[in-house]
Amino acid sequence: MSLGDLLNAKIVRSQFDSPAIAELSNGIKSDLSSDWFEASRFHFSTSYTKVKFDGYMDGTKDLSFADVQWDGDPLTRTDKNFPIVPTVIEQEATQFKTGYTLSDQVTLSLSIPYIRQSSEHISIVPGFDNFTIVSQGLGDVETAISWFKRLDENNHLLLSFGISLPTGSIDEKGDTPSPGPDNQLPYTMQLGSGTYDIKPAIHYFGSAGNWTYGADLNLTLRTGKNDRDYRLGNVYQSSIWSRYALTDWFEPSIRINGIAWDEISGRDPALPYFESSPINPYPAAVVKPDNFGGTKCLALVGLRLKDPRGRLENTFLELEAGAPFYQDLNGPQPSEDWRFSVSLVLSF
Amino acid sequence: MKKYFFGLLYVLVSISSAAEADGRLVIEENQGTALLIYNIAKFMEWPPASTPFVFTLWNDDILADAFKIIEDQETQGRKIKINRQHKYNIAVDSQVIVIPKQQLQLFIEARDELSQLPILTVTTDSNVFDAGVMILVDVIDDQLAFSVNLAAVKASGLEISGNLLRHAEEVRF
Repeated sequence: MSLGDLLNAKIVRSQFDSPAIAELSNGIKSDLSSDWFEASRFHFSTSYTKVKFDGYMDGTKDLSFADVQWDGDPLTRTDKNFPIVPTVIEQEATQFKTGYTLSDQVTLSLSIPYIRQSSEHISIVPGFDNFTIVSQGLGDVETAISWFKRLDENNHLLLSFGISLPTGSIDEKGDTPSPGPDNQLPYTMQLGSGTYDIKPAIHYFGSAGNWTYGADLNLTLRTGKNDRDYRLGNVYQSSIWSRYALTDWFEPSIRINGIAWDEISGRDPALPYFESSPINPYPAAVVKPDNFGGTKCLALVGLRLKDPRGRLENTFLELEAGAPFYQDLNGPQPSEDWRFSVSLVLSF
Repeated sequence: MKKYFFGLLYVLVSISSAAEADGRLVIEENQGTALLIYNIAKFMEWPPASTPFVFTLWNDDILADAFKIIEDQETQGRKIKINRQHKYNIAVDSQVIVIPKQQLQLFIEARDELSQLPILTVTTDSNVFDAGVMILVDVIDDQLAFSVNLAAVKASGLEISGNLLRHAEEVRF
């Protein structure tokens, strides 16, 4: 290749501009002990995610609210209908994450989430025809250690081991149709798991020209039972994704995300449970431990925006939105309608 | 809602595919940098020798990996060898030393010694270039470019081709 050809060629940015690699590869600078502090880098990101649930499913079948709501006639009561029905549930999480590149391959991180959840209801309980409950506060703080491995010039692996601490409340209360104004809220409205959770993950990413692509596997494995005598289900997530750099600062992406999660083990004794109703002792699907768990697949599109001037190195804004195209839920269970997230990543 | 979502997905995928048709040769940044440094070295006059022609990369494994594409090729009648330098010393047997931005301090400490040797110093960082390195390789917009510190080249006793200088973004005297 001549010098002229080379100087006229279109240069695509290094694969190390890809998000996770960019953060990690900032530390891949020096093996010299004298450069230890120089090689260390701080990374900070903040993200906002909103998920909306609207509607119900049992298995893969869509249900209407009328299908799920019991009309009060003892003859029509089944184990699939309830006097109280959450209709629209919105979950919002604002997450602050900081990372510290300890050495060429090792990064420590700490994530602090702030959660806000709201749930609209309809019910046959007098005075509670329509009501909304809200909970908000600190979620489960997670700390993780990550190990970065370059397989070759274009292929990379990131192994991560995290522990989620039970800092999120599992004692959230609100005004529900149960007696008194401060009733224990359902599992879906609690802010944490109440257990120490192990969170291993494997991420693969590669690049070819302007394309970057990858696959992820994330697990959330619960340990023991919490103080309220239940344990949320394990969560198993995998993704494949690809992103294309249309310009130096504009990169659309697509991602397919598969999620499977287990039902709740145990039962919170403070939640309403009517032993005298043998057909269905639960007043709502969201307090019935068996009505959790399932599998779903989502398709998401995203956009990464960088500083067009190129001055803010390793800083970007990322938007992503998507919806499930397949859900198989242990139902009746509220089904996801859509989700949206925006994140800002800074490295310095 | 879902209909609009998958419509948007289709549009974005279509835009991505269309953008591939550019007509220009596409090169990954590190490989382009390696090839340009190799080409610049070809435009220099080197003291005759039969030993390997050594490109040393100071503590920069990422760029060193990209240099594999020229390893074992020949230039100036000499076989090319890539040397990954991770220790605190100057690779005096090198013909070209590539200095990353995090090694600015080491370069400043070694600058006087290096300036007496027929070694071409190259960097991709403007601060290191300002400190006295001979060649800066840079990406401007989406094209490779290079600048030459001619005074530093002359001080080392190396000779650089005028044809090469005509392609330079900047020549410092």
